[in-house]
Amino acid sequence: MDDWKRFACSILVLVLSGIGVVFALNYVVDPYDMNGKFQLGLDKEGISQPMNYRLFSLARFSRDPKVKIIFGDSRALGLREDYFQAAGADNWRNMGIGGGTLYEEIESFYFALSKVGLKRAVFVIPFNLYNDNQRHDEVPDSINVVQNPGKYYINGFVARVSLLILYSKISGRRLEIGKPTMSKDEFWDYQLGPNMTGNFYSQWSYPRDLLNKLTEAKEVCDKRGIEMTIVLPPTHVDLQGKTKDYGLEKAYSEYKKNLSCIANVIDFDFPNDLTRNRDLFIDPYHSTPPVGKLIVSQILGRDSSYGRRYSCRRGTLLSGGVPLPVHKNVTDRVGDCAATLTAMRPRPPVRKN
Amino acid sequence: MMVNYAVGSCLLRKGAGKPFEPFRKWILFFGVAFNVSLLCYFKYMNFFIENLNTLLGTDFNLASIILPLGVSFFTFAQITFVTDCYRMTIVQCNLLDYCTFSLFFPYVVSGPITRYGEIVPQLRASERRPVDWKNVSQGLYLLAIGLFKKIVLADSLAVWVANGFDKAAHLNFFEAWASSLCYTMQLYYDFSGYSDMAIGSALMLGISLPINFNSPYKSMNIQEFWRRWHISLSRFLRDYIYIPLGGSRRGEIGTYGNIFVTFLLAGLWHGSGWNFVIWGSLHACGLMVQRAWNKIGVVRLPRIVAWLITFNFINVCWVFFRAQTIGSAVRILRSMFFVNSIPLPAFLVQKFGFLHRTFIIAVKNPFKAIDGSYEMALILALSFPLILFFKNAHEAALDLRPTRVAICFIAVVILFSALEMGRLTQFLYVQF
Repeated sequence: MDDWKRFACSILVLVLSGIGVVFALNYVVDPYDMNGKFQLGLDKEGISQPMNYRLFSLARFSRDPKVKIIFGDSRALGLREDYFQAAGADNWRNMGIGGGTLYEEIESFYFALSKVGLKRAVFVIPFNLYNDNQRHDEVPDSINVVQNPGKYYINGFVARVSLLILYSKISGRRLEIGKPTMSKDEFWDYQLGPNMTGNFYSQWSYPRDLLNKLTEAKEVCDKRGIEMTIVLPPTHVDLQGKTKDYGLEKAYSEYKKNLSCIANVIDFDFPNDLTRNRDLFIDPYHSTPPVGKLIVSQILGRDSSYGRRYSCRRGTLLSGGVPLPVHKNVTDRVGDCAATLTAMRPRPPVRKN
Repeated sequence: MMVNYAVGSCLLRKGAGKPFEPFRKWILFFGVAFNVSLLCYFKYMNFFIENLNTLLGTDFNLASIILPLGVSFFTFAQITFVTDCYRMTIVQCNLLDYCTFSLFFPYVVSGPITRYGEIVPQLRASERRPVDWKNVSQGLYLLAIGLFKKIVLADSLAVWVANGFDKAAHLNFFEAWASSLCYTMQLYYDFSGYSDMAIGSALMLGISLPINFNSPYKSMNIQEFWRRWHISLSRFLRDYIYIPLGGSRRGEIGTYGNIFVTFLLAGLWHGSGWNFVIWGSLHACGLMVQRAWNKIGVVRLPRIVAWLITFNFINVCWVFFRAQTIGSAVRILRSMFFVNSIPLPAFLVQKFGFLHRTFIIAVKNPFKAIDGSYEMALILALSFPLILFFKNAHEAALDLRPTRVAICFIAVVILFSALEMGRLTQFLYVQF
């Protein structure tokens, strides 16, 4: 064998061996449960989800599609599937994407639509995503991986996640991925600071393209008999006030009107006892689980005490919201709601979900 | 393909009476017009309708046309074929050879734009030749470098480019420069990477394709740039548009006119939009200015000044090439060249804030709007020495020796690039 032949063959052998090792690793560990062949008792979800919300969400949906879906960012992730199950509402799937954008919500919607005949689509749209400059969209990349097993098994990123899962298992350590090292107060201030709010608000731009895409999605829903709802998740009043700091008050009120022209809106994002209560928020953007349960109950139509509902006619306020019912404090009210949800579990759903 | 083959066969028909001899020019005209009209239909129909609607206030619906893969490159290859048949630089042609030439997979999508006479003799020769392992090794090397350029470098830069050009209206001085430079590098890595892969994979099959990029950003003037950038296109423009138009034989004014028309068409060939027309026109103007400068011969610029002017000119032109609209290109250029888009640190804002409150803002990260990171700065910083002081992939492939280090290097580069192919950006969202 001449030198060049040996040279070329050695390269091919090395490359193929490397690819084989990565393939075997990803196939056996299978961090996003694409094949489900090996049950090794690994903590996959705790690592693979925060490592890539998009791939996690899409892979899970492909494996086990449902007909009622929540789309959104990390705020949507707070509307957990077990809250729906606890309320006796089955067939719900949460396709929230931590750090996601509205483009990604819409992209995920069409992906879901291509897989199953949907019955309900709930879009969680906070004001910071209602922004033409929030264009980040990695969902097509993830769809590409989900639909091409070769790209999943021969994938450096998936291999890194597999190794992290194995490391977690071998070392016995629970990896805290993406969790901030700051205290709650420090983190609260950071989230309200110019780094975070500036990122969303200083470059706010009217989302004409997004509104068109949402309108198209609504038309698709109407044609296929899918009930589309938009939820404006609660943010703390500290954050709501930032719209004034950035001169976006008009844009903020139009956000609600414009979205209500597209579909039915349930609005939680206005000053009230709930959004004034810091204990009900993890940070100014994210509410706590009891609030998540409250929102779930309102999506299911079991409760209408906090969310304002807008009609499809130019943002007319239909019900709910202000003035708020008087309670000792909102935590109790939310606690009541959670208890109600739990109590309702054995009963069949009383309304169309 | 069948029409082009028929046209080519008619033009090459020899023997008894040469039946098509009196009509050769018309047959060529038909062949070129046929290819150009197909290209116009697929690529420019909606551009035409849009402009017609704007100009006349009409409301014609846009056609739902699916652009065939590689239509621009394919069309130019076909035009070279029928023209070479007319010029009789092709001696004979059979259907199998023609189909192989037209559909040879390494270049069918994005070039290099080849000529029948370059490919078919090699195909014939390769039938009888044993596998040349040196070619295979050099091909593997080019493939590895091309993969790395495309998947690791270009695709990394693409994220910041997309962020920058999507937020054109809101970029500060640093972000605008970073976006344009990232795009300048991305385009080079992307396209030259593709070309390296095409040339490498053809070489593994024993076919040598013409080199397409020869360290273009080392150019000291715009003419040199076009001799180094997308060489197969430059060659096509020269041999099939500029020279047939009269080249430099029509006097000074005629030459300038020919340069302008050639580059205007080059701009349009790249895409159907006014920004491509502007890009082509700018390059034409650059070439005309350089020609006039050389004629006058006043001053010979120092090399560093010549490089700086050339590189920045190319960089500015790429902004028009990439931007979605002319307006957003202008906005990016305004941020690049207007001093009031420079962000100041907080303590200076207090002193100079009166200058312009909107633009002078305090920021910690000057690349925030494009999500710029250290990785971006590192890739950009390494790109300059890489493109200026190192051998390009083809020069390095010629120097390749069958050593263990080379084996490991190529294997690692291919493996790393292959694993990044299904790229998923790691996003560690902060949860409390």
